[in-house]
Amino acid sequence: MQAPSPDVILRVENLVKEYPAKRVLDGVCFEADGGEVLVLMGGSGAGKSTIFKCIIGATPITSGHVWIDGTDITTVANERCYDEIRKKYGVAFQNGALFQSMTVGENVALPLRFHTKLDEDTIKVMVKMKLEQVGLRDAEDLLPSQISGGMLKRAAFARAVALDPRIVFFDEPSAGLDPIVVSVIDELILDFSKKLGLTCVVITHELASAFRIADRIIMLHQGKIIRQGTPEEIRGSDDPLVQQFITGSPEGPIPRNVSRTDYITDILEA
Amino acid sequence: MVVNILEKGALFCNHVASISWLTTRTLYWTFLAPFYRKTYSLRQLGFQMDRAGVQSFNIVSLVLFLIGMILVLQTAYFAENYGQLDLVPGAVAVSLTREIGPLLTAIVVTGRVGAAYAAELGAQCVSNEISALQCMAINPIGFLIAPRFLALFLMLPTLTIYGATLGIFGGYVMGALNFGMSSHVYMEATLEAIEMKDMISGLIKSFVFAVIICMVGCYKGFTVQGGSTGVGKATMEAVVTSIVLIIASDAVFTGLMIQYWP
Repeated sequence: MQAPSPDVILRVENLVKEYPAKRVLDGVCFEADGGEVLVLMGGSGAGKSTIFKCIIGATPITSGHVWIDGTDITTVANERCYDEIRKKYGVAFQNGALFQSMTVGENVALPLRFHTKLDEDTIKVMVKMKLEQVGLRDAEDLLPSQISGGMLKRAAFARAVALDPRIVFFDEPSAGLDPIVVSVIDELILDFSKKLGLTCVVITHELASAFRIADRIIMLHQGKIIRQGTPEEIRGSDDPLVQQFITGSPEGPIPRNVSRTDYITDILEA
Repeated sequence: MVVNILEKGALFCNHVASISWLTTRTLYWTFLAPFYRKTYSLRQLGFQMDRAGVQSFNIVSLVLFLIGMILVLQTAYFAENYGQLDLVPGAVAVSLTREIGPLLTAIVVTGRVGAAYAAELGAQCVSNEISALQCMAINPIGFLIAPRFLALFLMLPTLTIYGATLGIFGGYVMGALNFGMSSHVYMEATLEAIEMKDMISGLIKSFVFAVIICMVGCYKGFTVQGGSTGVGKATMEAVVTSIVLIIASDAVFTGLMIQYWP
């Protein structure tokens, strides 16, 4: 086991996650370089969210290693050491996960108040800057319940980049949004990557969005990586699993999880 | 059958171990960690004290005032037969200070505050707010539980003193209106009956009840599973478990007090 080179911000090595009855991740390996947009793609139950949970420490890893900015998170001694690693990355959750009792501005200010020694005036300026980056300066004093779904996601982005991390994880950033808002979200992720040099790891199953923003795409199926490469390489892949996912066809090697035989047997037995 | 009992026993032990661990971590994050780390702000503490304490004053006032009246009514009804009406103010005052005051205040606060803690933290758990805190390297126990714990630890004894006093006043009103007791006699009998140990006993109980209400509510909230149904179940379990634990600890504590500090 060797530490990754400084250019590699995230390295996942032989990641295995097992639950009592099921192996959800089976030897997953990938890397993300600085400033890269890496998209993890796959159908429901493919293991995308589990990879995300393993990386952010929300669930214990069965075996394998995860390096974030040169530190192996599986070997950190205690929670306090792990907190130091957490300051290096930001996370934008699918539903935003903003604190409902705080305004948008207070949500963005929270990590700054906890982890910096900046005075309140400077924090206020920083909050305005972060909100301006995501086009939400006017929403600073609004509560999360007073803004739309797209604005919630953008506010979550602003909070995720508040401490200027080196890597940001986006969990389903375009889920449940209209196509115009999805484009705005995609532009923001590209801005973070190309203008600010952040490494963006995006978990999604929205094909159009993935092909628009990705430098590299990793396709997962049943806890394993079946293909990884540039969007063009993925589009040109002749792997039937990849092709079925891209075309969205119900017929193919990916099971539909619907069994007419079982249904009829069930009805008859009842 | 045996396996079922063993499974339930193991689950119970698991809950006890988890809640004990959460309590020790909460004590650390409430009283020690603020000296060298950022945890909760005074503003958060003030907000929680207002919610747990100040906003509970009305309901505690109403319940304890009525309980004071009922106690005098019931005790006097019995004592009158034996011509011992002059013992009623003292008996009611002692029972309110030692037992009924702390117990009923705790039960009212369980329904109002303990349930709110479980529901609020449960909803935050379901909507990933607690995971978001962890990802921002902010300890959820220090940020969410510690201010709630300290607020209730300070406010429940305050409410208990206030509630017992109001209960005694309720008793006085009933005594004066229904049994023609003079205010001078009632107050003198009350002050004569209450000793310092009665008040200390009631106060110690209220501190213990505050720990139970807060820790059960927060534990149930933090361990919610299963979306909105899970939040509802956790809230219900928090209230039921708290009330059972409050009464059980009250029984143990009362026994110990009578045995060792008669």
